[in-house]
Amino acid sequence: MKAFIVLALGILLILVACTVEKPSLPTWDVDLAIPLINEEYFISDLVDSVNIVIGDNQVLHLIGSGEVDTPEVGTVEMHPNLDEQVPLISGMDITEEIGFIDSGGSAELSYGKFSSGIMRIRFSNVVPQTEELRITFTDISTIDGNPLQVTYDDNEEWQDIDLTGCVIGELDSPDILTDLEVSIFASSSLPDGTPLALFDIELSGALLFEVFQGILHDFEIALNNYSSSIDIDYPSNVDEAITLSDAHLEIDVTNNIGFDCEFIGFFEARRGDVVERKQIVDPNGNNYRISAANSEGAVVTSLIFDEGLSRLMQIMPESIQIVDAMFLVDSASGAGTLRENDTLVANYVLDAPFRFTLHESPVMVEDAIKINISEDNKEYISEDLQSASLEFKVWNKIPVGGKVKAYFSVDEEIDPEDSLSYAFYKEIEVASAQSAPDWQNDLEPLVLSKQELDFFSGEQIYLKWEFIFEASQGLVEITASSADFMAIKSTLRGKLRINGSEL
Amino acid sequence: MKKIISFAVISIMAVSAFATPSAKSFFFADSYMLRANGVEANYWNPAKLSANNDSDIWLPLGNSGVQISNNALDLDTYNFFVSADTLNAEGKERILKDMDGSIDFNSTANISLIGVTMGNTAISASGHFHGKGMLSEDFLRLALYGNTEEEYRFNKDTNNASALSYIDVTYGIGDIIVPYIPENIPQIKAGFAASLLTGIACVETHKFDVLFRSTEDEGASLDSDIELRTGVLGAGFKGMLGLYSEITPWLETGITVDNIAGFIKWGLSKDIIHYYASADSVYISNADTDIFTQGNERYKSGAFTTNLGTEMRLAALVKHKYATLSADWVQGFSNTVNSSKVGRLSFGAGFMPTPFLPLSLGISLPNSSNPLKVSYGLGLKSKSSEISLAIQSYDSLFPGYKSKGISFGTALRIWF
Repeated sequence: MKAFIVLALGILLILVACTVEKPSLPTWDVDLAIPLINEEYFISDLVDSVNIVIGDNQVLHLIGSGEVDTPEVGTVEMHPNLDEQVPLISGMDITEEIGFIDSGGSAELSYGKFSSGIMRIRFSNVVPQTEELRITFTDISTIDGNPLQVTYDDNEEWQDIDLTGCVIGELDSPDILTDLEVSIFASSSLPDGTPLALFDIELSGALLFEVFQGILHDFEIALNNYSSSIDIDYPSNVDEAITLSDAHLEIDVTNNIGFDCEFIGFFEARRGDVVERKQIVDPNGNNYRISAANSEGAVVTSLIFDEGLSRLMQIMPESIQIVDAMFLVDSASGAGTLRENDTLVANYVLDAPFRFTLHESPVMVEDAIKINISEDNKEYISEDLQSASLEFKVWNKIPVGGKVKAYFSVDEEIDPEDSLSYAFYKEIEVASAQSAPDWQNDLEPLVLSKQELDFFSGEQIYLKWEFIFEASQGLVEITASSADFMAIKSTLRGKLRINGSEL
Repeated sequence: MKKIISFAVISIMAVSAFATPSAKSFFFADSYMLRANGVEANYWNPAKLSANNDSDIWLPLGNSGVQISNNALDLDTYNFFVSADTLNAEGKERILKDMDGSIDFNSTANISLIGVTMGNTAISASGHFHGKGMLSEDFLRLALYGNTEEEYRFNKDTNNASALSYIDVTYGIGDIIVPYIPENIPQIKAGFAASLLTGIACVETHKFDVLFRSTEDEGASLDSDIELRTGVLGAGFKGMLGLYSEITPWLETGITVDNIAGFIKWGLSKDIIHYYASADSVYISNADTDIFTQGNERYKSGAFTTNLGTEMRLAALVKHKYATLSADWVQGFSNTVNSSKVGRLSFGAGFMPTPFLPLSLGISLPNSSNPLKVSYGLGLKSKSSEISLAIQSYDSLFPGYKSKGISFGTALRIWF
């Protein structure tokens, strides 16, 4: 019995001597490799069909377009300053011509429809034996189509004849009306040749024509001013990093008036306070001429203009417009027709192909991006993530390469020149298609230390991008075919801390 | 002791592949076929039920045992893991170093309910719980090191769990002299036992297919398809045939075939619980889209049967006045919840330094599927009763910090 107790106690002693710890998990780190991205970014995805389009040979083009027009041209004004007195003699039945010339010399009429105008007439010193006095203006027709006619009706006062709605001259006549043809008939009981009365006619006020045919001298039609925006967020300094090769402007002028005319104007590009202006003239330095509308309607004249335009586009404009512009109907325009409601419309397209020279100059995206991280993820980053590394592979088929720098800060104002304005930055360098035609597998990974990771658990995080292009050897051209893309594969490698806990 | 039990609770998973028929076998590291007498012979070799022996009774809970073990973690490593503040690369390797493709957990519990012998027959009832589980080494490497490989594939071979609990009511008859044995050959006795099994509950891994890939070109993908089959209340049967011969007064040999036509058919509740998750070509850059599908569903299953694999056991026992030596070889014919095709050899020794103080020692040799098991037991014996206590250590000669498992067994026999 004693031995049994001794042995039993011996076994119990062995068991009791073994300490079994309370179950709990220790803390350890695991390495995670998480696929981050595997994408192909095609140049053609940049095409918005508005400001960026694909042109000939698949070349990408920056496009700015707009439309400007004139107000309705309104009435043509003439000032004949006519003041004639004609003695009326018994038995008179004759035709006379009265001069009808614009005193200012700005218009020569062959046909017109009055928008407004007053003709003043008066019969005076009429003898009592007068039977009939009748004046007919053969060149002027009333609204009902009959020649304008005035007769004596015992009124010897001045009379105003409203010419509104009347027409003068013959429609589409090639002849300029320099005289008004007037038929005069006078009869009385007195012998023929006896003076019967005096007839006065005055056209001293302005005659306004809603339809005018003839010749105009220096008739100006001003263009309204509309600017057109180019909806592209250019990074700052991009104008220093890129020198555009060429650009051209095409203006299609739709002319509804029956005169050809001269186009006078400037093309202006603005970006902030920076303004570039270029006069729109042909290669010889002359103003373009716009063809007249014809019998079939409006005629479109295309103006191609490229001289010096790349200098305008070089500022990477936010808006473009045609300014200080007008159409001028001048002596060289010849005879034509103009209606009160006629307008001219100019549609313009500014076209800058993506053909440029790259310079190794930093380009900064204007605004810092605020990074929003949920509180849960902040805690996760702060407590669990020990380090992280982004590994990249890039296949760049675009003839543009360079460095991309990401600046991180707690402040929105990030200045790469001021190291105090940001917490840290990371950069990756991607070679252009010319420098590295195949997959670039040896890119330096972006490594984030624990201290840098902890930055992302802060209250506010801002990111600002900076690009420094690889200087090009001459011009590069960006095309948007299916072979123009940048493929990126990336894996996030992180060291994750598994925090211990009691079970 | 509470600490040991807590260790057991942590480790517990499903069934032992070498389920012990009764707790007393713990005393001899499973080398027990020819040592079992009385009610225990019902489970070990019914041929040994003999009318010449005293009547024997089992009392509830008197013969009970519990066993937990695993193949990779000893107590020292466990303590290291749970008490370490941080785990470095050296510590991780310490945990993984003994895993041979997977970490396997086993647990068994046997509880006697009642039993009595009547002449050369016996009737008994006992309860059994078996549990085992496997988790592949790759799974643990993934948890400890992260996804350092591009692809991880997990299947049922190395990732599974199952548990089975049932009660048997066994009737055995023995001491049947095999006829037509030539006189110059020692007498051979036969016996058989039939067990009606009442299944309490079972759960088993029906399907386990998990594929996780993470590559730069294809993104991260997960395809997980796991099914657990559960059953509640079932009925079954198993039979045992045994032969036994006392070749000389000091040498016995025997052979048994257990689990003949053994099965439990689950009837009352048969469910399949399906867990699934899938994601395809996931990149962080598109993680905000609805790319992850997961869920679980439970549906009724058709009736299913848990087969109990047939095992053959060969044994020899050498007897002496003060000591006995035994050897048992067990060979299963299929890999089932209770059997293994990998055979195992165990040796047992009993000592009687004094008539009332039996001591036991057992050792089960290790192989590819079975760890080294070493048992120590002692008892207190009187003319009509015996009470015993045994402890068994896994993969270590002595129970302690290097043990990868432990068993406890108690035995109470009363005879008259």
